[in-house]
Amino acid sequence: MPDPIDELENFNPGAPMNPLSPSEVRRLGDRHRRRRTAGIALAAAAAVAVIATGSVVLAGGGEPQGLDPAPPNPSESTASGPRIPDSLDITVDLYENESGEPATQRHGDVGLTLVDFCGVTPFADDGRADSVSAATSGPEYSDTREVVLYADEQSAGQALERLTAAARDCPRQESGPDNDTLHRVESWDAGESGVLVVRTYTNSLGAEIMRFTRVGDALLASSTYAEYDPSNTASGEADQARRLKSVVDQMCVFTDAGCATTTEPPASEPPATEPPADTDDIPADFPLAAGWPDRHEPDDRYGLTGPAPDVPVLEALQACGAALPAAASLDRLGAAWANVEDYRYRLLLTFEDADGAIDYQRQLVDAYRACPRTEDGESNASLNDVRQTRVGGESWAVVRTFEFLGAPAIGMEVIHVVRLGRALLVDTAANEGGGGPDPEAQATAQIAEQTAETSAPLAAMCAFTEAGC
Amino acid sequence: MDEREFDDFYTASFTRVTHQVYAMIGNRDEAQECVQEAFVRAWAHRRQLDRAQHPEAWVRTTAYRLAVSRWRRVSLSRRSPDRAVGLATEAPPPSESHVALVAALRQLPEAQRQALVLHHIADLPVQAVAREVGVPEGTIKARLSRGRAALAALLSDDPHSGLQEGATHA
Repeated sequence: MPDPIDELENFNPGAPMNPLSPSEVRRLGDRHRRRRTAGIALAAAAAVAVIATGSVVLAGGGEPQGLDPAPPNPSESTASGPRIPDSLDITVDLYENESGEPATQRHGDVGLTLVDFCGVTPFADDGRADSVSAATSGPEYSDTREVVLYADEQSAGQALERLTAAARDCPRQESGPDNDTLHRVESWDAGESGVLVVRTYTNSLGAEIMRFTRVGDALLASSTYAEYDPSNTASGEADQARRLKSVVDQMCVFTDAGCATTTEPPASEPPATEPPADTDDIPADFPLAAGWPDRHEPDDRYGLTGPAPDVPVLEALQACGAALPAAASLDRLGAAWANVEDYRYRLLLTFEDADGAIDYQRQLVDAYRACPRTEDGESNASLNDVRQTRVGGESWAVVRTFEFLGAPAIGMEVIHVVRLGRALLVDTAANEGGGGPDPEAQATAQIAEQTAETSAPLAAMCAFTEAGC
Repeated sequence: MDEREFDDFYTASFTRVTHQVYAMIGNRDEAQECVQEAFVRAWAHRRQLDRAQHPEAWVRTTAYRLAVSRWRRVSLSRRSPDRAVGLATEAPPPSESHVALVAALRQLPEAQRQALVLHHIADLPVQAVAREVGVPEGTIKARLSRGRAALAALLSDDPHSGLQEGATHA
């Protein structure tokens, strides 16, 4: 069997036939130029666009020497200037790199200094007093964090405003041949003022999720890249926010009040399933995670989370690009399971009566039914197929699949919503199915598998029926 | 860039860039035409090219864009024969191994193919590939990883070995 790398590196199909002479190329180039400069305004504008595009692309292409942007000047701190305390640990919940080594943090490193929106690098040369950054990466992900300290709150606020404005002013950027970069900007309720920027690509999988927030005199910047489905980055966003919480909490040292009076994130926009007030409607021993595997790869990212009332589930889902509707539930219990390319969530919601459960089940299903097909850029599309199943009192499955360039793409997510009495079970599984020759057979098998695995929690839901167990 | 510098650049780079674009698009004649046209544009825009400092990357990117644009715009079989800027090219048939490699590359997703060619044929480091393509390094690493696995399966002597499920759409 030939080595594909040898084949590639020795690729030499021979000299081209009948190439133009250099002088002929120049002659045609001169003619091309004359046509441009003599001509129509539209043609000139188009030519400028070509040049501009070429320059942008070229900014990083070719031989690497001399290509790197000017070295950043991340720190102008002096021995007497303000300095980030060494006790600030920004590596908390940062994933290990591909060789299993934990990330380490360093003062004055590049960090996210060169974050770029349409050629604007608002974080570079910004008069910072000190910075500390940490980064980690693997074959399919990279994660970078940086905390930057400024002379005062005003300077930190201005830096955040520059970042936000640069991202907002760059919703779409041509970034390569047939490939545009898209930016979505939203607020982030963390710290004193935060912003979320999600960067996706029109012609490739993957997304870079960036978050910036100010706490006192300092800014936190974070960038996580992974091969997320560009049409649904909600789970990645939720995961990143969760992992940054400890860093944001530690940044209270940069406020005038110190850490004792750090405020909680504002509660103006509660998450979709804000845990209700303490109730004991769902028994503590409810077998929500029963049926899931008990073995996983040895990595902190994998394994079981919960069951517990505060495990986020619906927060990781989106329908038609929007968050799912909030549930006015009486009680909730969530659980999550993760392994390599295997992500599962379960949520049990209980309502005052069956009508409440029926109503919310309809809201969930309708949210997906509203967008059977969503185009994500020129190459990607996500498909939602809602189908009725025969489990419990009433059940529906949402089968989410994806297309790339019109062909079934890797990745399948099944959201099975089962009501029994006044309880609703949301059981989700996302994995690398869906790209094979028969996605429908995979979907049917996936639903059957999830139904079998949830037999124990479904049986326990009899407690929420009129007849009881 | 003066005439002599451009001529040296063209002479030194034309064959190399043509091979790279051929590997990316799978059509040698089309690759040669697009690279030729890219060099014409390079001369027309030589002042900007000077500032960019890396003309070969500019030419490669422009040629690839032209190829993709042409492929999308019209069917190759219906295009006018005078579309090219140069003489008609009728390249001799490439060797069997090149045919197999190019055929395998054409079965890969465009993004994986581009990453493999830039990294392994154009010999660019991952960082430079990421910058040229305009995506993060992690994306390039993933595309290289999956592309190499898929290519190995496609080039396997085992007739039962092929792309694993989903490999063409990673």
